Amino acid sequence: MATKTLPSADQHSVETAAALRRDQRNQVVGLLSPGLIWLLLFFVAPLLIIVVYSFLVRGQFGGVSWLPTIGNYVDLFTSPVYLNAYWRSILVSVLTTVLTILLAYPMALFIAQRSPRWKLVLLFLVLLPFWTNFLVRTYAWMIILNDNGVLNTILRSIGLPGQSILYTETATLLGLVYGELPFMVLPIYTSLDRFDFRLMEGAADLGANRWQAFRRVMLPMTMPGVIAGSVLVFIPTVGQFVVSELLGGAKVDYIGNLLQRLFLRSNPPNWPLGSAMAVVMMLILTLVIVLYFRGTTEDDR
Amino acid sequence: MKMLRWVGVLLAALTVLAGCGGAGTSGGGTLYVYTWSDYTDPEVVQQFESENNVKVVLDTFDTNEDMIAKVRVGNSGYDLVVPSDYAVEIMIQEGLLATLDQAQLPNIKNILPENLGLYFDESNTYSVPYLYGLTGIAYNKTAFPTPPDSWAALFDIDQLQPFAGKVSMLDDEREAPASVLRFLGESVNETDPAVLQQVQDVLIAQKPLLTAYNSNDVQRKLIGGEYVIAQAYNGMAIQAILGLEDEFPGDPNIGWVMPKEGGVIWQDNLAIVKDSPNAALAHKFIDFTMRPDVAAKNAIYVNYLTPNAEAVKQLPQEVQDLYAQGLAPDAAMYERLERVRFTEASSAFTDVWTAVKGE
Repeated sequence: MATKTLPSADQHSVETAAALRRDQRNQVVGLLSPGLIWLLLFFVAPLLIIVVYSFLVRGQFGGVSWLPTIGNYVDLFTSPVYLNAYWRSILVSVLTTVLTILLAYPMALFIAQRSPRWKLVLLFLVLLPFWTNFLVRTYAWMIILNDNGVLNTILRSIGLPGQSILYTETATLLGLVYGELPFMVLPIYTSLDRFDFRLMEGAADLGANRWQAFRRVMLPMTMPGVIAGSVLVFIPTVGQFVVSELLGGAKVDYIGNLLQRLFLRSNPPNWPLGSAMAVVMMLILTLVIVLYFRGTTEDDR
Repeated sequence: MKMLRWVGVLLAALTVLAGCGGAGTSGGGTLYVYTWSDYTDPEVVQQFESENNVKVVLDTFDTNEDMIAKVRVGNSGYDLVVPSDYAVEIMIQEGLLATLDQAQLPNIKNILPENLGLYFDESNTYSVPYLYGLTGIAYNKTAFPTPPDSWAALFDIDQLQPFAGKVSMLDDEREAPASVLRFLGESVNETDPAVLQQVQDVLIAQKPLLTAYNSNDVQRKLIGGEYVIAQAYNGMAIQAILGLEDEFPGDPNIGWVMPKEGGVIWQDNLAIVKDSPNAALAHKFIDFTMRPDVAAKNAIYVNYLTPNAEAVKQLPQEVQDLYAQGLAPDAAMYERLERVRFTEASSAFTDVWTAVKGE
């Protein structure tokens, strides 16, 4: 009898353990499902629609006709107009990223070396522009860069020739660097804040000059911040269209302008071509993210 | 990584907010109007509300295509929409509009015959005219003591050269090519590839001299002297000449012409959505906007042309003068005006525009 009860007790405990695990599993599923449903509904589903649309034909009055084609992708990769828009977007994004790094690193370094109270004030100042809508701030740049604007008034008053900057690609670049700068300062600052500055003394003791200490010690250790900042700056810049429309005078197409026009302004709108363009852009950005994850470890991030 | 996650959360939140637009579905004493921004005088809306003891909700769209897309899905909740001419045609073809009960629209007698029975709705079964406009050349009278009378002022590089950097064109894939087409002696709806290639060449040649492509605030730039010549809607010029409420004073030094080669005339219309929850009230509103006093008030606010013959008589003298000076069409001008039509071949204009912008 006793020998029989034992396995049954065992079985019982096995069952309880299984039930417990089941409970835990249900709990996890329960906790995850709102997020999962959210992702499926608002991320995966729209994404699938875009991918499907990109293989269809434009409808007569906009929308799509359900005829499968790869024509949109063929157009994208064979027409120099579209390829140029991609190149232009990537080029301006790379330039924006590099320029923001050059500006943000010294800024972040300066902030990281202040006393805690000053740090707070300075970080607050970095974030301050976000309190005003980006569009309004871009309009402010129009007033500054205008031919009779603030900048030229100052230049002329000190006897320098006025500059025609507004409505050029330089103005676009300037607007982008301005807008993205905080997104670069913050991650770099985070890295620098955790950086132990005594290591610089250590490097000096070992015979490194300041540049070498920076190159060999500080920069590699804060690289994760630079990379995170680059991702944050690069991705939105590739898709931007407002800055080039307002500050660039809508004269040149970046991929964002092209996308916006194909969806909203063209007649009939070309959703399939726009979708294909978006898919290609997503693939390029995914590539960037993958490179980012390969280049850093979990700890760095 | 934390940063990235926050950005993700933010984006997700924005997505939700963006999805929350759209009108409600309740009927009763509320009229839902889907219109262009700044296209109805708020005082006119208030007057309608208090005269009829109802509520009017205005939602705005930026392009006909946006509006059609929303109505097409069905159950948009809107009663009244304001489609441009070609958009009326599309919406009728797709069965998105309700037929109008003419008996409820007695004020249609005030509308000019030129604005009725147009190609997109030949017996005004679905739509009545709201406002209309022209696309021509706005200029600064100091820079042009003799007004330009030809599109050559914008498209002949030698003529335009002295004004380089103070020139703008509408940022619109149909309007910009349309003017070039008239300049070349062609119809604004010409889609022959050889002709469109010429149009593209003209626009690309012109581009280095442009300050910007701008469809938004040409009037402001004209007043500020940033542009001295611009392809512009007549309403922009009227606003520049008369000023805009408390935003900027008028500048009598601005002029506007419809060049001798001719150009585009367009018309926005009022129409009732097929599944309108409150069609009776929508009829009332349409008839109300055709009342001479209301139409005049609205036209002064919006600055585009009212098709209401009785309303024109009630406009301030200075506006009537502008109309008489050629900012509104007369019989002679109508001879050289043309309406933009949309067909399957129209996508060629998208390609022209992409090529110009890609340069």
